[in-house]
Amino acid sequence: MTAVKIKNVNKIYERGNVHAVQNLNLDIKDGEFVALLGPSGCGKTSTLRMIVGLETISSGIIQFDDVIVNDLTPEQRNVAMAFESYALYPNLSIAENLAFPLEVRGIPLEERTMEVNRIAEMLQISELLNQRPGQLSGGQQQRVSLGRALIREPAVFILDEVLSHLDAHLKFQMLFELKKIHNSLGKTMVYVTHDQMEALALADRVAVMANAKLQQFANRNELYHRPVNRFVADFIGEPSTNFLKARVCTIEQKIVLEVNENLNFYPDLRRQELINEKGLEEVIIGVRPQYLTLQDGTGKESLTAEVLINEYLGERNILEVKNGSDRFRAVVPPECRAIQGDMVKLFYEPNHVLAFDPQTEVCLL
Amino acid sequence: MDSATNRLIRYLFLSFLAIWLVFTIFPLYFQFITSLKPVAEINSMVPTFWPETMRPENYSGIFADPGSLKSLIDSLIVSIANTLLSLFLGTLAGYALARFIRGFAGENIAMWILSNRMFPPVAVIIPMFFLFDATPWGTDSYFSLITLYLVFNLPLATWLMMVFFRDAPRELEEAAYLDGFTPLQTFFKVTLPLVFPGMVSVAMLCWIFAWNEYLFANLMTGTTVKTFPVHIPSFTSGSQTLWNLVMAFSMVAMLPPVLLFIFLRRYMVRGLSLGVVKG
Repeated sequence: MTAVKIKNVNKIYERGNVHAVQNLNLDIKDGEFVALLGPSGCGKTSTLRMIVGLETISSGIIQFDDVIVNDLTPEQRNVAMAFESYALYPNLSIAENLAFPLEVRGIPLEERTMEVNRIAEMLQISELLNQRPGQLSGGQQQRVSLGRALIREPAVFILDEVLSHLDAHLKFQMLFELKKIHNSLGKTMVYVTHDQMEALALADRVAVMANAKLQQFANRNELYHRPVNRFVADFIGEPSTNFLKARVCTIEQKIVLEVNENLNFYPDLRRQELINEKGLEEVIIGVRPQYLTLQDGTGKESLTAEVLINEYLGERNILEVKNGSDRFRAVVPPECRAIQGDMVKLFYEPNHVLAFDPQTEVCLL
Repeated sequence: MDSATNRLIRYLFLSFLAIWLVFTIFPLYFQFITSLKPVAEINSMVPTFWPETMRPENYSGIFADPGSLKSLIDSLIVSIANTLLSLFLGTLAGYALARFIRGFAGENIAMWILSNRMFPPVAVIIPMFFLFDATPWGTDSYFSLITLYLVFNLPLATWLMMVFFRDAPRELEEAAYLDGFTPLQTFFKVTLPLVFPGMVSVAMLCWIFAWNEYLFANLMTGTTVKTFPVHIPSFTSGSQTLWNLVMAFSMVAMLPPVLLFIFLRRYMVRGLSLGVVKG
């Protein structure tokens, strides 16, 4: 049981002079499941490797509870890691692979066998124990690699893109399994991924990284409803947020965001105040497609748009619409039969209209 | 392409292979039958393609000279010792180059090491003689040949092992560190098994070079130490070369590498194709 504190950590690669992680601060609580989320090259893997001890820390400190681990070896830190490429020892059988970390620690054979069987049962790989890694499918290898990490009692679990090579069906199954494992073990887990769906599904809190910097560290609700900047708003959510440039106008003492002469957005009072305080003349509006609906309701505002594409996705449709030269998307029920050229009326709640400063791209919250 | 042309190309290809086969097998065949002929038949004007009189005694005849067996043993000592040294040093150096010295400098050092293998050995043969003459062991010793062959084998071993180590996934080593292995344990228990087929083929290449080397052995040694290539020309009677004995002795000397290759073929093929197909 370990809390991980990352304080002002920097990673600079001398070769190529790359500042891969800039002034990172993360406070991971004991037993928490945290996801590091970001596009490739955002510094999440460097961060993870610094936590594990496979990469030196250029400056700053990393603490496990109250112990500074900067100069400790991976073994001394007692971390377990599952690799993206599985990293199973090809010359050892599955059972030997699983028992490897125990063998290193000098645990007697009997106990090792017991543990291997226990883990194998939990991950449903019992029938594979005598095979070699080369004979296994990707999903099976992935489970073995997880098993090898789980078999000992590490302070922290690190999972590096462990689901990225699995097919969609198996991925869902493993997501569920992972969550179950975390719930039953109650260990601190750090999960690295570029897939926001995985991150949001698994983690108690998600650290969104981009361009070597931490953007936001919050739970899924916060990330979804109160993104700190345009990047987070764009990266979190599927389909991604609609962004529209708008002019700030005042009509009857109310602030109206004019995208074009036929398209106005009406933000809620708090945002009106914020826009006023900042004295902005232009803003970037962000509206999630999920919040543009065909359903009217009390307090909702509306807009009209012309349908370009009605994309049928089974349990929902995505409408690609335009108003003037501005295009955006809306999620509608699958019954929607609108076709190209139809005019639709879309409704939204004013508090779902996000506004971003066009210079800094910071969200007005 | 229609099937007729296809077939034609196939036949052309096969006949080329057949010619190639005759081209490579014939000298061996001729060596074999010569080793079984009496001297008179070898010297006849019209060569025979199968011995008219069989003389298998040639094979026992070569060992009438005690120097024959000793030369084979000398060759074994020199080639095995040199192979083990080349492999040991080459593996360590290859690992260091693959893992620790990266980028531009690493490439240059590695290339420089390999380039040592590329210059013509004759260019240094005289300096080498004087160099070894100055050592306490002199030129005519196991030491001189074992270390001298390192000059040729070590660059090759280092370079090849470096390539094999580069292809061995680094994650496996990192996983072993996390599992609690020290770097040295990781090297021996995780990394080495991965490159083992490569090591076997490197060992074969080094061993065959050391086993067959004639030029330096002839110049440096000959009395205390006499490897078999140097011993071969000694099968003479007066001014006459006893070709049947020369061929019989060569056949015997060919056996170890051929047998070794047959037994280690599996590793050789895997080792030599290591890094060719990725994934």
